[in-house]
Amino acid sequence: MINTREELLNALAEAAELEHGLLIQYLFAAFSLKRRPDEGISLTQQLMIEDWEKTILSVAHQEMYHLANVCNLLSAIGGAPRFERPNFPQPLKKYYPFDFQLEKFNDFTLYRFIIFELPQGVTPPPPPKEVNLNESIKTTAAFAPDPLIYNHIGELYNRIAEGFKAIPESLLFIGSHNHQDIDRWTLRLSMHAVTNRETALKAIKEIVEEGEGTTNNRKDSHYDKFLKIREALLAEKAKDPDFEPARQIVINPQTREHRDINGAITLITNKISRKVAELFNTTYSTMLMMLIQYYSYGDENQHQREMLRDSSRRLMSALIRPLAEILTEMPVSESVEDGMSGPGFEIYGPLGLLGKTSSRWKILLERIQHHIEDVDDILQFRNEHPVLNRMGKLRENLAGTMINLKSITA
Amino acid sequence: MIEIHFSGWFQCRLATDPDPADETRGISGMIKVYPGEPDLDRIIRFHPPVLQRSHCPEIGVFVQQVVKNGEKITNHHLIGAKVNLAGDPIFKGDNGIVAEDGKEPIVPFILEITKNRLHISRTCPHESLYTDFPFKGLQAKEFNADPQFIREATGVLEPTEYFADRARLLSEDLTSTLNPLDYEIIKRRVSFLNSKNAYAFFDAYMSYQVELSSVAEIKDPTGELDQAIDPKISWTVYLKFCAWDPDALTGYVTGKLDVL
Repeated sequence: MINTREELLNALAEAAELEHGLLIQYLFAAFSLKRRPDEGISLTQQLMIEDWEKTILSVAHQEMYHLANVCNLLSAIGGAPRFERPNFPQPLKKYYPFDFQLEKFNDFTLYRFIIFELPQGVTPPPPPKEVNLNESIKTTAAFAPDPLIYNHIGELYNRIAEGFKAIPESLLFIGSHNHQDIDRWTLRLSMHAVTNRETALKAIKEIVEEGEGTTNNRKDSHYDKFLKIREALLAEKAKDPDFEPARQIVINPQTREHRDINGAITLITNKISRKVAELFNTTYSTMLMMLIQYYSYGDENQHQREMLRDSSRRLMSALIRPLAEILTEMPVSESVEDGMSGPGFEIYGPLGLLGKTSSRWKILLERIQHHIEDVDDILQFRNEHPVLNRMGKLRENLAGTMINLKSITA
Repeated sequence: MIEIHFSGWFQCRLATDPDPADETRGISGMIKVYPGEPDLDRIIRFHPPVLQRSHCPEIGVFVQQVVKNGEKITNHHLIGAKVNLAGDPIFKGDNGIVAEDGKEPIVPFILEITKNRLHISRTCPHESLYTDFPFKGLQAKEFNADPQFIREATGVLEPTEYFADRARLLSEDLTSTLNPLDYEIIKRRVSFLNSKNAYAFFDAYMSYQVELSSVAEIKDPTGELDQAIDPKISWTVYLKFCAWDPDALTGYVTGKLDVL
């Protein structure tokens, strides 16, 4: 039971990690999908696959919104934003009550996604093969915070909602109202402030309903969307048993074996692919650092905060996604037979930043300069891998981001 | 001074946020291409389109009117001349890194007017304002809504009906469409045209004002211009891009070139 601030902060930190981890798995599966008829799909299948990609990316987009909402919930009760998480893979029950893997789009992956979003009390659909379902963890009485027990995402949020109801409102909401993200991130996405119990519960309700729907209406929930994609996949497979919608992406592609991983990874041994993967991972960390700076409310002025928000959003579209897509066409080893790489979303070290604003900007600009140099290095190999021609555009995007950031830090 | 007024439908097949600017199919944004259609390329085409979807406006931007020293010249040789932006120009926003939606610079900016053997071509000065990030001299000066102006210019008095009419025509096509993929594509177009997204940006415009001060290239062996023009004196071109049609992947452009 959550009935102390510490337990609530712990649960929200876990929710942030979960949302982050889920959206990465969704992105990985979406980016693994084939794009062109020359990859062995018909035009009708191309249309179907594009629909699936769009749907999965839209779910990932909503998970980003959930993550931002959780940051607001944390901030409202005096917590810090949480963007760190363990590296992939993480097996069932090691960190979370889910199996966290970076795996290409297939029936099993979709089944995992359905289980992530499964509403409480709903019977899961038949699994593709023998899989371990979650088992409840036993609770213990102790002076330390109670262990967090849940089997599905909605269940975690219900526990968090119970915490917001159990702890007296006048004691709980100690965060500054100015430290709420109420920005309009895009035309379709604006954030709402969490300042009291009512707004906290409203934010949680929205997250749960987007994930699993309501008891009477599951339509357009994440759960419903993944169920429908799986049904469509199985129907197409029944018509065309050779249909393979995803590229031959390896499972958990990583540039190194991290200390915090638990489970099998595929080491990227192709030298050029590894360079691209490392560039992907470090730019992803840079984007996370921008978000941490944005959400940690240091001395940045409003204009600087807007630039952090816009730059992180722009980098997601203009750098992170293209790099991830490039990686799905880069071989994991010297032999193409071994499969293709993919975005590993690896975190190489702590992302925390000192509160001093000037140091934060220096670190950020230093990192972007390194990324530009890394792109220049990779561009030498564009003749060997024509997909790397796209890197020229990414260089432009990084150089432009550098100019934009310098203009507000001078 | 000569004012050369021009207008017409143009095509621009561009990926929109949150798709990357170089996305070729259109996955997450409002714009998408269907299987069998060429990839998106962001190029602003005044002539001819790379693809013409059925029941969509005909592409072409032409001189409509010439005003000389304040007087309309109704029979001026330039009327009907093709106006073009040469060099495969694009709306270069790069997901907001260069400029946010509605402010995107047109890069490169080379204006051409051609008719018979007449050929006029001119670009902006080779200065950082026009050649370097963020191309300030080529960015839109304004992004706004002006339904009355746009409806008069295009002749589309009621956008919702305009798109609904196309949806009706496409629905009629469905009855004679046998190929399942073509059927599915038409069905999707009908569904899109009946949604708010079809006309969401019809009444919005982006306006540009660009100084053209490179040395003008003027070839006029048959005297279509009716007068000598000093190729070194700067010209100004004013453009309004509007009436965005995400189904046809087109928009309408009106413009005026001031030639001193």
